[in-house]
Amino acid sequence: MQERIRNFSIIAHIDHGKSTLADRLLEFTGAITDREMREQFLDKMDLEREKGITIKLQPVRLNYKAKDGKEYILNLIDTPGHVDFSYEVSRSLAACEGALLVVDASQGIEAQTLANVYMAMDLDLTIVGVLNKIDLPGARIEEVKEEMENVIGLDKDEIYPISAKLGIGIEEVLEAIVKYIPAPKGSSAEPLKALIFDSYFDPYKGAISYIRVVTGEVRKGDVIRMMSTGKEFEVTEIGVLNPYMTEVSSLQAGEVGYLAASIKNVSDTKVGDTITRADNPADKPLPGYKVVKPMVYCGLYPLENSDFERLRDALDKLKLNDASLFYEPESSDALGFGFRCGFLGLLHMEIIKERLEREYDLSLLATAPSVVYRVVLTDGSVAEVQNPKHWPMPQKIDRILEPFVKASIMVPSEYVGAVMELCQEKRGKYINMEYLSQQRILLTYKLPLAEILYDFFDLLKSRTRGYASLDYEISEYEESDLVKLDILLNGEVVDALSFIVHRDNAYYRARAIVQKLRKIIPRQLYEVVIQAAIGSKVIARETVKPLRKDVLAKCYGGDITRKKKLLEKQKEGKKRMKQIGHVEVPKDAFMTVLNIENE
Amino acid sequence: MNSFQPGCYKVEDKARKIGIYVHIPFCLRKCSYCDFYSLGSFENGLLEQYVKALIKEIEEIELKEDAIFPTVYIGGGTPSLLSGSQMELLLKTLNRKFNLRKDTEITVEANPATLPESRISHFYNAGVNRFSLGVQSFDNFELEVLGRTHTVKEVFETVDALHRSGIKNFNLDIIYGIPDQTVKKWENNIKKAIECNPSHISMYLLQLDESTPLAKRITEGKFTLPDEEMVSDFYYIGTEYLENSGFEHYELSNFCRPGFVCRHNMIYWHAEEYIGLGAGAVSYLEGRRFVNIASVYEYIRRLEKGLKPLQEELEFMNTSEMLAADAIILGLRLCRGINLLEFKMRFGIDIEKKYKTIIEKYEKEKLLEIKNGYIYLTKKGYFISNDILCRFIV
Repeated sequence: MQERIRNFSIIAHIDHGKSTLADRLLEFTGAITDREMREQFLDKMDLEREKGITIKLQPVRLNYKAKDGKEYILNLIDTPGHVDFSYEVSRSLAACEGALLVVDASQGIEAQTLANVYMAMDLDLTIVGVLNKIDLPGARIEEVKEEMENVIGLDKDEIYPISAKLGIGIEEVLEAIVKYIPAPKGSSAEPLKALIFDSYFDPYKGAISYIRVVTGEVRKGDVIRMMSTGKEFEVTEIGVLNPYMTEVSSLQAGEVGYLAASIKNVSDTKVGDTITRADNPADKPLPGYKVVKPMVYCGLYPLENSDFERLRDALDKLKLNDASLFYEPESSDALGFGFRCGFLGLLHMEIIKERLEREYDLSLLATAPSVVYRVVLTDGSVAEVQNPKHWPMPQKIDRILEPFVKASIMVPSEYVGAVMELCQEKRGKYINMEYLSQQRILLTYKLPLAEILYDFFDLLKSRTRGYASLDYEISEYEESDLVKLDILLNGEVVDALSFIVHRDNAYYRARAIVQKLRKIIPRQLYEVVIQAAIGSKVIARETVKPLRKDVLAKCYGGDITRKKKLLEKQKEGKKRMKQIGHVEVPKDAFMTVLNIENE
Repeated sequence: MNSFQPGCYKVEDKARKIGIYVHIPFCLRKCSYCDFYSLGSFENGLLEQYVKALIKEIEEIELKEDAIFPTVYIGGGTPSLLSGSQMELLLKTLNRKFNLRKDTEITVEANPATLPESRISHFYNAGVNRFSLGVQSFDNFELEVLGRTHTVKEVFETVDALHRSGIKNFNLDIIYGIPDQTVKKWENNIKKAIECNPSHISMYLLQLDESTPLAKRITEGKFTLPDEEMVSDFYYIGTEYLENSGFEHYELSNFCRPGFVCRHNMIYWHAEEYIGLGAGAVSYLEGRRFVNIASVYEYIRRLEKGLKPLQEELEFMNTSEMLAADAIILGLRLCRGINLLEFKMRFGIDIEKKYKTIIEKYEKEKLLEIKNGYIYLTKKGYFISNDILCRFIV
């Protein structure tokens, strides 16, 4: 039985066609009928479909009768492609013996292709190369195959050219999975060790864990123990996803499936934990995952103060599905009560905010994202600051450390100069340059994470006409000359607008942001003075002149309805404003600190 | 599409006042800033058919109960394109149907280029007792920018003709905020308008719908509009000139010699009812605003066939709250403001109580006042009135 199981993931740079290949595999093996088929089948969230990305990993079991005449069970775990979610990728990979590496035949290897390959190699997975989109006019089949051989070390004759879109080459890929990816090894006779690689909350069944049984066997009715907490539960249901939840009587070593045990609290099914049996426990857990730390923080505030409790509820619920989400209540003088939230990256942040607004019908205001700074105080202690509001007084600061990332940038050779220049502007430190082929270069830089958050990615894309790709991993903290910039409206500091900036960029950004704010804060009954200051020193200033004209010159019988609609629109507009002191500020203003340079 | 039957206006209240509006959607040429419904090429034959259709629409109206129709307003378009006999027929028909009293205010809008002295006397003899001249500017360059068909000289000629014909009650429309307008040019326009000695002046800010040719030219950068500060100055300069010359400021954009308010327009601002006749005309009856479909051809076709004009509902206010909001938004356009007691009797709503926080906010800013039983905007509030009015929207 075990020798007919293959557990694998699909890894790729974003947009290289992972989810489409998954769709085809599902179709080809008959896991879903044509009638059930819709694009990105494994992406369950509307948001995933709209953005064409995968956020959550999602296992599915395929039954495949190979050309050798035998029936195989293929467990596919689809993975997200964006760098923010690399943690989710590593989780799915840990449950597998192999991975399909999908590369777009027109794009070639990109930054996240490599990052994912390294991750798979670290876990000793067998990699099967798949060249996708060979139907595109711009496909460079031979060239990219060579790239894959040279850079990744795959045998170019064992790379499978396919078009997931047109369904070309799918059977060959399935055969390759059977042929090359090893069957799982663990013995069902040993004590149970099952890895929880994801979990979510079901209102009827309690927390549901997706598990990979490494050794032993688990059955309905077993009393299981979570090895990290020692808590015990009775298994109420086990099953597989094919792709719908289907109960089975047991899951054996090597199998992938789900498990429910009336667990009320998702924190009791920690991702990365090992499940064992209470009556015959394993002596030591599986390696598990390192605890992921949020890299980016921002404040989320309800536009209506009365929605605070609803926001808390919504965050509680989202957290059940997303262990990487962090939040704690905070308050702001300007914005009232809200939550400080931590995310894996900007996309993660954007997605959480959008899910909160959409799925929980909240209107939210997000403050500018911040990284976690380490501020060494004069008394020798170290403060971790992820909210500019808690920035210590300058005289108490000895030095400041900020997080840096090691960024891998894959770029066509003609853009190398532009990218190096950009990296310099963004305080980058050159590490390495490697020719992957004559045309493609891998640049490695050390860059402040804050700069990556700010606008690095957008600028990288625009300066390379979209040809560069970026991946990064957190490297270390380094000392930087940073200051806190406050924004004042009519003399009052708006705490939610403060941000941390390198001293050399402070003037430039201060000017840019006050100018931007002047443009987006509408004229009001009073003059609004916008200032940017470091401590008590104002370094930039703009004013929004008072409202002078806001009138409907004509209003007669024929156009009363139309004029009323204009007033209605104006009233709606006011709802999107946050009253700060006497000033009405559009809710987007709080994100402007982020994208002033793009204009 | 709503199926209103124009023949079935229910008239319950004996003292009910209903204004009559007649739309003449024909022009010699469309002005570059105009977004009203009107055909930009005028043909005598089509106008004749249109007038016949209008007569039919009027004749088909069934009035079940008594109502008073104190005003008739013939607007456009360019109603001065009507011949004397067409006007005579139109007013005769209206008179027969609505039993117009002697003191009915009957206004006709006119383009100075299409109102020769002979037509003035024709119109006057037909019953017209108030003229409204679309002068817009006393600067030929500005007239050209606006796409007007007339010249400054024609304005003076027409005004002289009105005076010679003994017409005392006439209005001049003038526009400010025209591309490249300066304070000096604007002051000149205002002074010239006052020199014409009209009984009424409407002073409008140029506000362009983005669909208009002038708006497009501005987007293309061919013209620049004066900025917010400047047009606000224009407004208050104009207001001051007019008040110093004995005009009473009675609505945001309207000024008159004592006793010469436009009674028809007052019906709108008092949120009272009106019947609109002709293609593109809007009616307001029993809480509903609805419009005759704005197509001259379709309108003629249906009426020739003996059908009612196609109509479309624009809004229906079925709560006293909605009606009250409507009345506030309109009523605060009047400088006198809204009589609080009357308002309470009419809608059962105490403005001071219901809108306490809004009122207090704007009183503090000195943009709104309550005095002697009236609530009204202050002068300072006029030109930023939307900021205030939108707060009253339901």
